[in-house]
Amino acid sequence: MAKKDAFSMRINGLSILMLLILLCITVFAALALVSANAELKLSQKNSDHIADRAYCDRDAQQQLAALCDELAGGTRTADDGELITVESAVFGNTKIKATYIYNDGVLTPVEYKTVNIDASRATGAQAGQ
Amino acid sequence: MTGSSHSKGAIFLIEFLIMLLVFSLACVVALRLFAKADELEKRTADADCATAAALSLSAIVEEYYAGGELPALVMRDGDSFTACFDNESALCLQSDAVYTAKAPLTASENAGGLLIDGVISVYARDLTEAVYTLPLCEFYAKGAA
Repeated sequence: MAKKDAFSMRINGLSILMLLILLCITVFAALALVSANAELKLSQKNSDHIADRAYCDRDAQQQLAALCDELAGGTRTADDGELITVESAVFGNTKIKATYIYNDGVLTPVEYKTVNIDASRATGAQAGQ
Repeated sequence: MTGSSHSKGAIFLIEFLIMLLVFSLACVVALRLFAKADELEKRTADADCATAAALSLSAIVEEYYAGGELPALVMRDGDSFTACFDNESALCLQSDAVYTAKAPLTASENAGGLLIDGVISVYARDLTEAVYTLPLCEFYAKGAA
């Protein structure tokens, strides 16, 4: 009986408190890491989306420039009130669809929207901005 | 009696040492996790700051070509623009710069209007490679408001 007492593990209040503190520190550290990792991924996704949109915008602006050049040079004609749509190439999951109205030799933007390809595939509708 | 007291003391010491070891190990693991989380947060802040710097210069250049004024802290050399940003993505002097955004643009005029095209590159201090690039292209049609 004396031997059993000598080798038995004593779990007192202090040990339980220390274990709890250890558990809390480890859990908080793991949560901080998971949260930081998620934030980094979100930030990268956001940066990529901004760059994709800028590439789409560049494509649409170049098409618009070519269109205006053709209209001004007379190689393409349009009637007053005619709606002209420009669609950019797809970058990432994004493309831009811009609609202009032609009046007195000037193209005025009517609609300029960013289309999310995945969303439009999933819902069958255009997710515009 | 003395032997039993010695034995109890030794067991207490072993128990204490084991607890100390477990506590130290857990602290080392937790500290490493916190350090890694801090590093990731710094990387996130840097990436956000670089993106914001590129967007900011993009907006400044677009406004300038649309007839607006160029801020005094933005340097212009022909169609190339350079701006320095601090760690809060605000324009600053070159001596306080954390990020430098450079926009070497080309302006081409055709019958329809003026096309500004180029890529904005953001450089971190002491780095020669761009940390973020953003294309910038804007068309200003003739006769448009």
